Amino acid sequence: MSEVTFQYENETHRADTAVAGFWLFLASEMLFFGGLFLVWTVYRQIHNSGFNQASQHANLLIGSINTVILFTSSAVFAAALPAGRRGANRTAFWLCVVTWLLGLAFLLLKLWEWKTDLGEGLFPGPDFSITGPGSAGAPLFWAFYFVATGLHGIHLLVGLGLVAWIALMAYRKQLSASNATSLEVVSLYWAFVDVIWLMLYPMIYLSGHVG
Amino acid sequence: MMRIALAWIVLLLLFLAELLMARGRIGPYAPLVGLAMIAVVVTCFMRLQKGSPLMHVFALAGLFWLCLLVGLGSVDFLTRTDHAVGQELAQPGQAQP
Repeated sequence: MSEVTFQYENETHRADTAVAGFWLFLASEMLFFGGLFLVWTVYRQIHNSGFNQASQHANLLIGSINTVILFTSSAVFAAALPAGRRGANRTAFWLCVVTWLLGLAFLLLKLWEWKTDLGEGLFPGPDFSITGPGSAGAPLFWAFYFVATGLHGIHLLVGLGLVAWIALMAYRKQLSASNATSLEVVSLYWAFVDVIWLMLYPMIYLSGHVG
Repeated sequence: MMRIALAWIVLLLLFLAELLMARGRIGPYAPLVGLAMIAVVVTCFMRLQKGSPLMHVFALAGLFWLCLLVGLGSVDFLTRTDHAVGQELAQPGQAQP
């Protein structure tokens, strides 16, 4: 049995406290992204036509592929938790590798999408390409797009580092029934990054395609 | 493992439904499918229903303050009525002195 510091009754109490503490962090993250969701809601109401026009320029294909990639990676990493808890380090390691590769694929696709967006003059500024009647607010939409997807991308990058850390633990056969809290906390973080994307996806890619 | 595979299939079906709905007449309701997808992720991949009471308090507090932030912040803008104004008021730069 590993050492349990004095403030915990036992290992289960320590693990529950770590998970609860992480949910507190996730609650602060909800409010962090909540400000962005509020901005989108308010400005879409004010500039409905401009937001719809702007959303039609978003790359629906890449956005949709990325959505499937991300919730698949969440499922794969969720499967790593029971493997880690029963000490199946080899299985947990390969599930972490698949998760990491899916996360990397998401980021590379997102970078490619940004490149094409910038090439089409969608970065708000003097060369912004969406002009004409009813386009007021389109630059605001694209400002939201770059800020929101940028912040999400930074979170995903941090997640890639954390998944790599868990993969290293599994590679060194350090995961076990009594030592899986790190894996549980990182799986919460990875699923949360997925949740944020599931919020952003209809806001960015679908709102302009509503029939 | 079976539960996770089932959740993934449900997510895929919900995602396809969201895409189809956005293209159809019921498009404005597509984000509700997005919320259902989030519910699947939170319950099946984040195991919200298992865990300590303290964890539930923190998760529900986060949801409560998020609803308060977005709800109170947007209610004014979502309930405003815009009234049409005359051409001169709509384009103040071209108004006659």
